[in-house]
Amino acid sequence: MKMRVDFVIVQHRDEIVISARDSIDFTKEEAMSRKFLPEEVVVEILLRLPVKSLVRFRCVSKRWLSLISDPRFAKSQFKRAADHIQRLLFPTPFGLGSLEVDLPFGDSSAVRELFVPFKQPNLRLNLLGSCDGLVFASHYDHKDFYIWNPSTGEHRKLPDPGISPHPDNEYMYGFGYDSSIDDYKVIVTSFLPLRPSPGYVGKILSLKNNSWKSIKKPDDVFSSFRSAGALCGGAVHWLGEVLRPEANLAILAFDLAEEKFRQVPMLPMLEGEDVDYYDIAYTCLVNLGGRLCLILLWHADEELWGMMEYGVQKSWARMFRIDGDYGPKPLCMSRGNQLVATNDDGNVLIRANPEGKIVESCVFCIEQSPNWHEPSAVFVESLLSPLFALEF
Amino acid sequence: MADDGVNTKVEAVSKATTETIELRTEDGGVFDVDKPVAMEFLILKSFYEDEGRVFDKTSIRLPNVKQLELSKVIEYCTRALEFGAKSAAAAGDKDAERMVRQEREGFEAEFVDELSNEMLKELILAVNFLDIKEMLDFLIRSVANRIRNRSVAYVRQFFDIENDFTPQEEDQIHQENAWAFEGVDAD
Repeated sequence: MKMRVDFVIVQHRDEIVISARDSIDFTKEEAMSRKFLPEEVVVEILLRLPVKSLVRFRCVSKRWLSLISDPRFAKSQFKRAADHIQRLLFPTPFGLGSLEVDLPFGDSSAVRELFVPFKQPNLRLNLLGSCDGLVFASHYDHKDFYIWNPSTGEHRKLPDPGISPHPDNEYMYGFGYDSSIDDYKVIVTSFLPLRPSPGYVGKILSLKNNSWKSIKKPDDVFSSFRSAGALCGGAVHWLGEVLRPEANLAILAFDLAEEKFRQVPMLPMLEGEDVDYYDIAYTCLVNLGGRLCLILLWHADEELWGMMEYGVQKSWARMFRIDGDYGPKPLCMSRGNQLVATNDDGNVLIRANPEGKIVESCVFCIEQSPNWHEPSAVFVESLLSPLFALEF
Repeated sequence: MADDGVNTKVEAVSKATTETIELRTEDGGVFDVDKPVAMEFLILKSFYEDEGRVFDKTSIRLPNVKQLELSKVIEYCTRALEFGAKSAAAAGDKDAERMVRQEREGFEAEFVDELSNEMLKELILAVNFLDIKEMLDFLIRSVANRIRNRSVAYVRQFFDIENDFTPQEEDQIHQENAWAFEGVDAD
């Protein structure tokens, strides 16, 4: 991007004059009074602004609306941002609300009520994943899928993947970015848990392509504990059980670029036949601060374990123990390496420091999830548009 | 309005052995600028390098730059070089590095606080012309900080932009994301 001003050099006997080329036609007064900043400079200023400012400044003029809505601008701004503001998304009595993760929870006045343009009034919205500010959501298990940016309101309904609903179906969902083709991909799988082959349907869609194609089922029969996957290292992960030859805790991963299932090594102490699963009251897999993490509630202790080096089994390390008997569902890391989580019922939000002490807690009416589905999600503020691929 | 005080200060800073270049502005400012500082202005650096020139008594006139802006530019670039040298000297010593950083941040905050919006824009134009990357980046960041929590009206005034939306159009964009308009600084 060229910001250099074209200049002209004129040499006189004892003096050299260096002046801007486009000003030599102006009169001296005009040249001195010019106060418009070149557009390249304006864009550089805009690139350093946070999402909230940019969403507001779309009103400044038609030119600014066009600059700020440009997908390349959105991408540059996102890449440049020193840190991305994380927000928690959860159901409120009025619809959906969001809260900035790094600020104190305070009282309910800190909650930003969101208008969800595509939400059906009588249906709960399932939040199935999020990446780069785009949220993957649905009204039903098997259809009505949307990609939505809560910061800009832009949304896009995905075509129907053609999955037949069955009351016993289990679903796994994933959403993430594939850097190899610079595109976002959505995964939906449904299967009947105790039957390895029949009843399995796996579909993947890339936003640029906008059509579903089939994906091969995982080699090992798998039953997941929770349907929304955890995105980490270019793959989506689900915690569950491998059912054959015998039931074992395992982490299933789907690589977004290769479009294949594989497994990620489990915590060594949870592998194998010696583990008494009745001791494990609660487990949950989540991406915290870029690492794949496991929360274990077992032997009456709550521990947070993280895979410090992705894919390396011996890098699993205990990050901290958590006080109290919250049975927390971890959501994300906030500043200072603090854990933000909800309790098991989903109506208390807690913040725990790295020593595991609860430093803040707040009662929120985050609705309890009655089944597999995810009531809440974490997203970052961005201007990325779910429609970007459709425009070109 | 530059007075002889500025010129004297600049000359006092330069040691006897340091080469200087004489820069003249359209409104009568005359500055003897140390060579290291002048070479931060890429427009001058490339001129000297391309032409293979040596520094001599020739003066350079810059009709696009006024003396107030040039004195500010020289001030910033001189300090930036000093901080660069201090930073290099402190390398490896975490405490010393932090001190230099804080000192620099303090200087920059004070420098920018004194600038009106008009002056800030004039400086950007001058520095863009003179092609001083580090200072341009600093000024751009300063503008971003200054406007980030301001209203749409304030920003229009700052950039001299006319509103070409109809009231209905503007209202619609506003309603799409009303949350972005909350908690904004009063004009």
